[in-house]
Amino acid sequence: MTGTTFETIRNMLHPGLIMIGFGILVMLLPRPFRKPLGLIAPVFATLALFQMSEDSSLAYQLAPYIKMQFIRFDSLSYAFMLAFCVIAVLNGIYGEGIQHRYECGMSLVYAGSVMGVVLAGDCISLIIFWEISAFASMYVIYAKHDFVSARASFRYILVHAFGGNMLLAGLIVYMFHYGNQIENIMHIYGTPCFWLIAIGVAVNAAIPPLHAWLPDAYPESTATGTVYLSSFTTKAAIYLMIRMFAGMESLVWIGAAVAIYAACMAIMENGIRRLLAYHIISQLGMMIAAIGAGGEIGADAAAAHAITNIMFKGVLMMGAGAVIYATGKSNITELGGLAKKMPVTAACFLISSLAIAGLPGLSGFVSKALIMDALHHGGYEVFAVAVTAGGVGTLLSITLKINYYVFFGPCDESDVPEIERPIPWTMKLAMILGTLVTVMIGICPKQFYSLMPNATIAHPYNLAHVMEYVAIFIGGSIPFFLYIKKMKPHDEVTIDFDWFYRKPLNSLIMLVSKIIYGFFAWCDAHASRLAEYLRTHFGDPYTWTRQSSSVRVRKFSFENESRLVGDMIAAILLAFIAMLTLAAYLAARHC
Amino acid sequence: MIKETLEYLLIAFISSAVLIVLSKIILQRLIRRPADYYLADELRQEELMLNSAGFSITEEIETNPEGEITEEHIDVTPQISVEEALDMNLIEKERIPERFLEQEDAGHSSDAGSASDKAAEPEKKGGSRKPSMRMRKDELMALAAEKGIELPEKATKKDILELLNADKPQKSPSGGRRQSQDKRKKQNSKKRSTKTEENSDQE
Repeated sequence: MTGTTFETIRNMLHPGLIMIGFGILVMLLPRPFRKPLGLIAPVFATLALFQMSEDSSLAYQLAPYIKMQFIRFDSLSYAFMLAFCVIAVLNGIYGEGIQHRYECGMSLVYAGSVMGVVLAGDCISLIIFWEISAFASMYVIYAKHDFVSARASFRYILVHAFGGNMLLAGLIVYMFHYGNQIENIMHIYGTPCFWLIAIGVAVNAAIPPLHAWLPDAYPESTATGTVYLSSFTTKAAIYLMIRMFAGMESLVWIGAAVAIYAACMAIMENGIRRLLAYHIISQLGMMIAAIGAGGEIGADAAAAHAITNIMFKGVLMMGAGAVIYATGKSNITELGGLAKKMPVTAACFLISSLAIAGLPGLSGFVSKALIMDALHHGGYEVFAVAVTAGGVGTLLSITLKINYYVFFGPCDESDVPEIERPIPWTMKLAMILGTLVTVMIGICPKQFYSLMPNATIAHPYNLAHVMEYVAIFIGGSIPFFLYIKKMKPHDEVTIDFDWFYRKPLNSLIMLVSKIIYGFFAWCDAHASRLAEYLRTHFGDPYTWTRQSSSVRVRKFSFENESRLVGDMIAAILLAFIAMLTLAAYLAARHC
Repeated sequence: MIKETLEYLLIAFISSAVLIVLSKIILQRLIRRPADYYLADELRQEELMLNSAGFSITEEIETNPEGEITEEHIDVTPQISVEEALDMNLIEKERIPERFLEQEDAGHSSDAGSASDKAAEPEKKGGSRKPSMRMRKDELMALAAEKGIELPEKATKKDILELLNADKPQKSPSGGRRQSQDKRKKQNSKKRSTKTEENSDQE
């Protein structure tokens, strides 16, 4: 009996709910208790993940025919959950002592809700955790509490409310027709329900033109907040795309186009975190292309690249956060020569940026190899070249541009920014650990591939493949040094698709509100005038007759010696009531 | 294998060159805007909204939009005077606390006493505009030139504004109430900053 109870409790342990619970505790408890919880929560969630099995279940009977399954545990959800738990632990270390109470709590709630999305076994629990994650992440963006972050978080929640509602509408229709399970929906391709779900997921997967919220909002959060944000929302969307849209052929060209487009935008950017945000989109494009290629290898490639991306992008965001924390500056034009002053950050950033560009020996090489295999396997040779071009963009903008202009490039001593406050050791430790994970994945690809849902067997370290990437590195770097003057960033902003809702739509809304306000103001003014008019004219009947052209009317008297106006009105009213009574009587008789 | 390697070398070179040309030459001309392209409008709208709600945005937000917003940044000074409120029948005179009426009277007497100041006021209003992020860069530069402030070559609007604000003279003694409010705000902010420092030390 005790054994069975223990087994039941063990099966019900939900890493996401543990994180959410700890997040709420952090917001409620006094300082001495809450401080270590930011780290304890992801550790507990990881332990809960390790004891999970395919038998794990947490169900709730919502209605006679609707059952919510909070846990569906398989190899795909395990791979994503493992990456989420590792990055949550690293974030816990990174943010130790620099996070505000509510920021820390909401970050844990956010991470937990995204874990809930990954573990959700049915559409209802999926949408619940999806919405919680949207609102929790909104607070994480707002956590800096300044004018810019407040505006950015507001725009973020508007876009995500739109996406969430699209997904909700699509899932409701889907559940009505096909049941509550989360499964591949390609069998309903082209139906309104399909497109509603696709738009909902595309918002979170930051597929252009629905991507502008990402570079708009992520850079405005705190140092820790941006690391959390870059690791969870978009990867959960990729997870859902693997589940629901695998094999959708149009995703191949969409993904390839996204990879190039975002790389182009990143090259123009000046803010470090905004540049990295565009690279999240570019890397998502590669994952989307792999999902479109379909098959077991496509799903594995997308999952593998999502996981490696969580790691190296996490470290890159941590590095950028550390630079901003230490110098108070976020634009590349304001930075330079920081490698001497921040050697650990510079080294971790360099290794992770080489990983994202796909240098052999690091995690990016291992996961990109699977993506290229998936595209070649599906016969998408042209798109494979496009994805390679996207990878070259990554090399240009992160590996070369940021490292050159922020850390390692030539810079006058006077131009090197002052370190206003040294970064805490916890930040350095988190970056080092994250970099180590990136290196480990690069060194042991076989073990890494075995974690993937279909455990695809691939051999990335063959001479031809290694030479390919060496050639990409050399070929991609030459134009950078040829155009080194052109590559220098400028203190300007680039407008993106968010321009449509930040400028014309905004102006339209202002215009409409002005029109509505003007209309009501007009009504207000005229209503009082009308009331005044009625008061004067009904209070004094002579105002009607006085202006008449007829002498008879003008001379008409409403009162004489024996009859008052009041008697007249009473007589008229009585006659009217009598007529009504007669009409009612006649009507009743007819019926 | 050599052929494939050369192929990839060529692909990488061409795509790198194309990306640079596309982003740094073509797109740069089309979609590059000044650093405060969105911010200036957003600040203007914020000011509009706060004004319509009876508040006003302080210069600190205008000049440093990335700074933390606290209650001190919202100026709760009524946007209309007590006299105007009485004229518009918005409030009965009996219900206004005496101290406000006294201040208003004091304000009147000082105003009446300095007719020349009053005459100079519209001129002042029309002559030199208050520098803000809403103004164009050339307007701000002209203001700076008027005041004889030397600007660095690559000064942004924010930099010019900071220099102008640094150069701004103290407010006239006629705004006694406003001054005392400012003093109070400064004291509060000092208290808060010491408090936050203490908190951070405790952390």
